Amino acid sequence: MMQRIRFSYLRGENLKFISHLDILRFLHRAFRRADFNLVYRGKFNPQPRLDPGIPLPLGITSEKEYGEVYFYGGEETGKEFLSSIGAQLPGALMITGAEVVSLQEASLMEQIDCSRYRVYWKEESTGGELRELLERGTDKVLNAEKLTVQRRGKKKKGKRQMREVDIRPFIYSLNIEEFSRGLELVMLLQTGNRGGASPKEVMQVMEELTGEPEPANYHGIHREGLYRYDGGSLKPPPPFKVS
Amino acid sequence: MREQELGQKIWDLLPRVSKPARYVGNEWNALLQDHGGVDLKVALAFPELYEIGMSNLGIKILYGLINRRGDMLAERVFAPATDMEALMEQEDIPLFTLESFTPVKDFDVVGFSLQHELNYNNVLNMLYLAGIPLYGKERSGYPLVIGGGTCTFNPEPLAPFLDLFVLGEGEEVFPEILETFREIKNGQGSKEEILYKLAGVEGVYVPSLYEPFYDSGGVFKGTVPVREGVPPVVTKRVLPDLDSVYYPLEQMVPYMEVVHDRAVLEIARGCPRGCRFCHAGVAYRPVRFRSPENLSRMGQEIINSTGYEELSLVSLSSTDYPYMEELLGSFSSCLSGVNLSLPSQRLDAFSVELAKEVQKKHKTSLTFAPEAGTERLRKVINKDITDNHIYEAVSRAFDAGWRLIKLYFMIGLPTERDEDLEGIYHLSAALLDIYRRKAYRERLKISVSVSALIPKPHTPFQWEPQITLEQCYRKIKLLRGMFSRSKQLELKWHEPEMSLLEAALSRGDRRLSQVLERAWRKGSRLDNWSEFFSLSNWEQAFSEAGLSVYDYAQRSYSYQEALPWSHLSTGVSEKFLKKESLRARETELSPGCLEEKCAGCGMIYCAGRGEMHDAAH
Repeated sequence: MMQRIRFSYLRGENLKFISHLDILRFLHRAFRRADFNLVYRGKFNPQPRLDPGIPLPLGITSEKEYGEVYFYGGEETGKEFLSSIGAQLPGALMITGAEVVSLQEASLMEQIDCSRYRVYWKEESTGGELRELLERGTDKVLNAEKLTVQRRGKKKKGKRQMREVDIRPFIYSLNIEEFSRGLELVMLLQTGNRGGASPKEVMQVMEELTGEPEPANYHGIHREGLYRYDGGSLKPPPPFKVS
Repeated sequence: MREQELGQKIWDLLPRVSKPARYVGNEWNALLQDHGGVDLKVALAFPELYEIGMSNLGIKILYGLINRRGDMLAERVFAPATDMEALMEQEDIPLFTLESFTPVKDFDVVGFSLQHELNYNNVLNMLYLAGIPLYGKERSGYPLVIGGGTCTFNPEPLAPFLDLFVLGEGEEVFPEILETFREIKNGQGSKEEILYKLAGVEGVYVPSLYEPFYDSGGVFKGTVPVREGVPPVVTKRVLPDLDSVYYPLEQMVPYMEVVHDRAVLEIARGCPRGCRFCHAGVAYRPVRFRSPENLSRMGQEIINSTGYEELSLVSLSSTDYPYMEELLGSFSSCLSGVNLSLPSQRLDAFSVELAKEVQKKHKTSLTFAPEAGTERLRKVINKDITDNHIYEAVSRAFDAGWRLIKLYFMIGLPTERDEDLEGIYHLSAALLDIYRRKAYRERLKISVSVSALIPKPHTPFQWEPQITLEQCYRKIKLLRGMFSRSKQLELKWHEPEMSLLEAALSRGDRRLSQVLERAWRKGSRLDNWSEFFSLSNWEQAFSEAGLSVYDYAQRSYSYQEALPWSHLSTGVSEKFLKKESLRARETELSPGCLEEKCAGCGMIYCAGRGEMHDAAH
């Protein structure tokens, strides 16, 4: 019987420099080690029906990513799934939850459209100056009509083409918050197949708008969650509930 | 535990480099041992980028062999790419190991894997980045720096930089060296005494205990021991039986895609064929096979512990493995979801049938190495394959569904004439014709790669000159003209300048050490990458040392001449090499090791026949 399981997982510091495709390959092998009878698709070069979810930009940690896997098996519950795959994963890639979903359920890509990131600065740089600068930068970003960034496009005649993208419509909110060890800039950004912005791009336009290098000297970026934004509230992809 | 402070500094650099996954370690099945719990720490250094080094079998073997003991630990280090190197220099970060981010300088032993001459300057560069003095004689209170791998059969260009070289297979001798070193390192002995004792281990070559001498005209005359009790000739170590030695089953699974991104199962060591150009064929003699029962169990364990979707059955000539059918039979029942691959296949019908059997899913390309374009020239190199063998094999490959055939050839072989080059074209064109007559719908492509012969030490061609760059370009031009006649034929060639340097270094003597250092100071490293390789750097370095890269690569030696590698032995006699060199001139084939008649190479232990050859054989 074909089963489809949706799982949540974290990506810790040790794996933040591993690309999305490499994580896919790693998960594939982990499922094989755990002896899952995976479902493959494609005749010429069969690929597992395994989806690590919305790509996480290189260098960013995350506490809640969502992925999916299809396999043949009995009526496995989320709990049984967790215990069999758990032993095959390092601490920095821990599956934290798993739920059976129906084969008819829409894909993760269709059910997720925004990400919340926390950009943080080290303690020593959280004085009044940084806060003031971030406030000024945040105002400038939110008040801008258009924010153009350059992205790598397709190769043409062997040369990498650059294309311009306006990321302003993808920025939903920016808030400065304090946490135990310093300052954070919390961003809610659009994500997914209708276009999106990365937190690095937001910091880069803030640096350009303020003319100060400090916004780009953050200590790290963390993805806190992936959601579906329906007007007022943020909801995780079903069947996961707001925790 | 990882080194906290250095670890953080390294981590902070990684957002700024390309492919940071090269430097993070922590792969599945990587082993991080407590440094306090062991009494000897070894850094296994591979002088190439991560994605190349992680594909090497020797490193996997030694890594597992040392770490499973419990009293020693081994960690890995690779050559950093140029962007990482620049940042390390700028931020004052020494070369570090991937497991614990410990400076390489803090290890007791640094062991370099020497697989290719164009990696020599990566060795120098890694020592420099580690903060370890380049020259062995300047090192006291630093790690013991040793080298192993196929290049150690003539390591003379590296002689002043490394403390010792290991000849032959490391499974036994490497632990012996480490144990001997551990015993004496805490004693009162000076470094000279320690090295003298290590020279007593069979298969160990301590270059500082030998001196090359030259006549007044600068002609090399020989290499002799400078102390009593040091063997005048060092002979390689050979494992009598592969089934009784350690083989890594819990192989590391890299996060990033490496060159050979698959599980490896070594089915045999050595090659029963006696191709006269082949260095590996001599270095790994005699041929030995693992038992199919053992391999079947090992294959399952490797797949269970890695989750790899492909298992490569490696050896120098996998189709010569005598129990292949039995092995494939057992894998087809117990490893049904795993793709098997067989590199290094012989060009005959049997090989294609095997390839068909293993490559069930996805038929990419099939690669063969006829090496020479005519039957005559293939006899010269002792490659016993007729044109008809090739036609039949490739024809079967077409029928089985392959539509990309890759063929490898050498140019500049002894006695080569233009008709042999034409033979390369005619052979390829004949294959196209065979395909056309079969009237399959898909488009066929035949990709032909040529590279210049590099006469290697310890082979029957060691006395031969390499062709000049002009000759090489003329031959390539001739081939290009012929190959331009069809769009389905593709011609590629290895950079002649890189082959030139490789030839000079592989037959180099100790004087080339100054050339290495000079070229390294001019920025030469990662010479296997055409974007970093600069022949003019090397030409200058040679000429500043009063030497010429062309002389080293393109000179021929007489049989009477002393050779810079004569004090190092592969177990194959020089008499045999001379005989084979003469037979090449006579276009005579010699038998391989699995045939009734023995060619008499002089190896004392000959496992291919399952018996001990006595010395008189």
